Amino acid sequence: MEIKYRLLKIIDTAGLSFLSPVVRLAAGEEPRKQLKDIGRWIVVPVAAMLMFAFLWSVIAPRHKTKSGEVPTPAVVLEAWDGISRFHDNESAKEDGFQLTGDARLAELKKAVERLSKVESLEVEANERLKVVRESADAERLKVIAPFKKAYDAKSDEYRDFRKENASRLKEAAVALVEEGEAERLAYLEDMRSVEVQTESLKMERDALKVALEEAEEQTFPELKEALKASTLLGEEKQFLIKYIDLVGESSREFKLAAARETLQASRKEFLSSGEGDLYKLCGNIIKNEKLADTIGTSQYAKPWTLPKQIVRSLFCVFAGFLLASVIAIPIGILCGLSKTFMAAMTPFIALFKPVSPLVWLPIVMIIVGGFMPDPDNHWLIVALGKVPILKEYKIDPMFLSSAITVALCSLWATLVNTALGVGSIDKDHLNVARVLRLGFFARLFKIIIPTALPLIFAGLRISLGVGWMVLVAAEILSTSEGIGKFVNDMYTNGSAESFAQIFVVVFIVGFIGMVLDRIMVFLQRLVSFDTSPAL
Amino acid sequence: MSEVITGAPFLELDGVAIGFGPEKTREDILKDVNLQVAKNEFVAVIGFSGSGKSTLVSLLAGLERPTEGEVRMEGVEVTRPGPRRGVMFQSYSLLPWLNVFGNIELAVKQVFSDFSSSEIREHANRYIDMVNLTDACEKAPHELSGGMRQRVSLARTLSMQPDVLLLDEPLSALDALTRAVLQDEILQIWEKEKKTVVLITNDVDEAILLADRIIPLTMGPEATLAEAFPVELERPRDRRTLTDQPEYQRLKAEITSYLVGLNKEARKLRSKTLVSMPDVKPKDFKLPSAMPGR
Repeated sequence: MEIKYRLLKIIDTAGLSFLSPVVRLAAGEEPRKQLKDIGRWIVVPVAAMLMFAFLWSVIAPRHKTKSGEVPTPAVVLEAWDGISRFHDNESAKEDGFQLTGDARLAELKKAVERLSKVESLEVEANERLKVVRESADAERLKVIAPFKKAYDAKSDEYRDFRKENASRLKEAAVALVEEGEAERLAYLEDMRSVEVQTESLKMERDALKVALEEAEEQTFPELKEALKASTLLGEEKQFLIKYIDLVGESSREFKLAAARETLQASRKEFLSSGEGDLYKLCGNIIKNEKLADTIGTSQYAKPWTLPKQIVRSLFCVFAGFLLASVIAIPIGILCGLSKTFMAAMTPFIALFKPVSPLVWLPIVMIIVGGFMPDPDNHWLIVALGKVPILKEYKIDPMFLSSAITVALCSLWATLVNTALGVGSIDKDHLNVARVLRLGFFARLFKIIIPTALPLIFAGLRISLGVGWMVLVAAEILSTSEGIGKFVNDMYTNGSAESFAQIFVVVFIVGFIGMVLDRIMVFLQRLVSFDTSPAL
Repeated sequence: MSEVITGAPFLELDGVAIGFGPEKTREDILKDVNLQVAKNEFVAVIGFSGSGKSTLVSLLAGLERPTEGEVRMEGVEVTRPGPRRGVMFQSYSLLPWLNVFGNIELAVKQVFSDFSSSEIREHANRYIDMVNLTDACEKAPHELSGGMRQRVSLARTLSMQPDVLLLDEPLSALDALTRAVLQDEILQIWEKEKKTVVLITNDVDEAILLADRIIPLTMGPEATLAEAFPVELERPRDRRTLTDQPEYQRLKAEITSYLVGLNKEARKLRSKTLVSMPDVKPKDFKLPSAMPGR
């Protein structure tokens, strides 16, 4: 029983109340009621999601775009696989590049073995693909044969009709020179009717062509499968070849050994050489020493994968969120404390709150750019570039601009809520403070802020949600690395697969936004002192 | 006020009036209020709700300034609130984000700023113990019953060791049983600590049980303090034997009928549409002998 109540409390605090009937059912409490609740809060939402997925997979393929069909849930799942495969491969390359000694050799051997296996598999897959494609082609030919026949026939008919009539009319025209007006008018009528008939024949031909093309587009699941298998193996082969190179001859250890050997050789040459330009030989040593140092600390130039973009976006949104909080909470407190200050702030709040991030961003970018004419050597960028984890994420003026834009758009909710929380303080509590003769700061920190804290957190929650929404837009516009950059790249790429990958991002952004919101709800409940559930 | 008080008044209201609104149309809530409280005296102010009792406490505490007259303590004008006049509010006014100990600690820390942390702890615990809340020390206010919350409030007020205790209807939000228990506790503590107390109440029994003097507050607006009823019952008083004493019964009947009279008068004043009642009076003003002491 004790465990049950503890679990229920955790579930409630975390805002996962849909789980509480499960816990209650497990404890055997009113099974009928719990089953009803489970039905409502778990089964119904799941059913709704399945329904949505079903409708999606039915409707999506009907719309053709220049990036292929609108992806179905299955295609999106495959795109997810593609994204994670790319990430895994790049991580493997990064790790492999740094391997040394036996570990490297073992890895190399494993990769070579895998490559030979993949190659033979690929050959098989390609053979199968060939067979399948041939049969599919044959099948397609069979299917389209009647369409093609009809089209060819109509096409010939059209051509012949045009040719015949043209030559007939030309001949008639020769004789027409000697005829009068009535004959000439009859000739005109004749040509007109030929034109009309040609036109209609052409339209019939075109309609048949569309039908033929539609028939040709018929897809064969088997062919698709075979193609996919072959592509996957091809991809893996490409990866393995690159990987073997990175673990083998392009590995850091290997290159370092080579560089050291060169260094040794140049040393030896300088020390023992009886002739030649000693100045130049000595310079060679210095050059080779530098080279060896560079190789010793070199890293695999890993491209930005989606997980890395996501982490950068999270850093960016938190930087903006922090900035917003630092600005909004003190101003909000002042607004709550002083009606005069509130009156002074009201026009700014009313005017700037509805401004879109897409307007703020260019302004912020230009202003930040003005502060950093040479960003790479600006003290702030240099300082941020030295922060241990942050330095891997390319902190540039664009990052700062995006973060400031997030702050500008998200600070209003916190500001207004803080003002409201501070303004709605209980008069009795203030009387207690007056009787105790608490000073301004004691009153602020012991009475006013604790009272306002639940509302401040409610505001922070809204701010974080707004910030997360704003961020992706800001990143797309500022071409700053991050989720927005990924979306923009995929959009520019325009292939069917990248189209599906944008859909993957929708779910990732949604999921992260949901988790952030839950975290804020949790914090809000921790600071709420009354028992009433916060929202 | 023609009440004779031995010794100089400790706490004093001198011709006090308070009203709200602009000067010309100001409506006085209290007018011409005079009160003198001697040191260590327990005074109860009794009146109907809405007659301005809480405003009276605010004036005494210094939370509000009178528009006319003066509030004095030991001859010095009261201009702002301070811990020497401890107020216990009807609404408990505990800070909900602090537990019982934290609420009291806040007051102790502020009033005794030279205390070390162990002294603060000891001091706070002493008062928590005094109101029998040691077991609930770690609880948050919302986990406590109304009676317990009011005890915390009492402990917080007492822990400030004020010279005057101003109790603003501290028990009126509680149920009858809890109220009786808390009345006994307040009585015990007062008899031990001997403090100057001004109790605001609407309960005649409570006033007689606790006070040395009971002063009715007439109906507002323009309420004022009426003639005091001295309570000369012996101390220590015991609720169980008190009700049997004829003096208690006399006082209670007298005060009650006075208050009822006030109410009638006020009603007459307020509404002129009331049907005038026949002017019938009993022949004898003595109470019927069969009237139980309730």
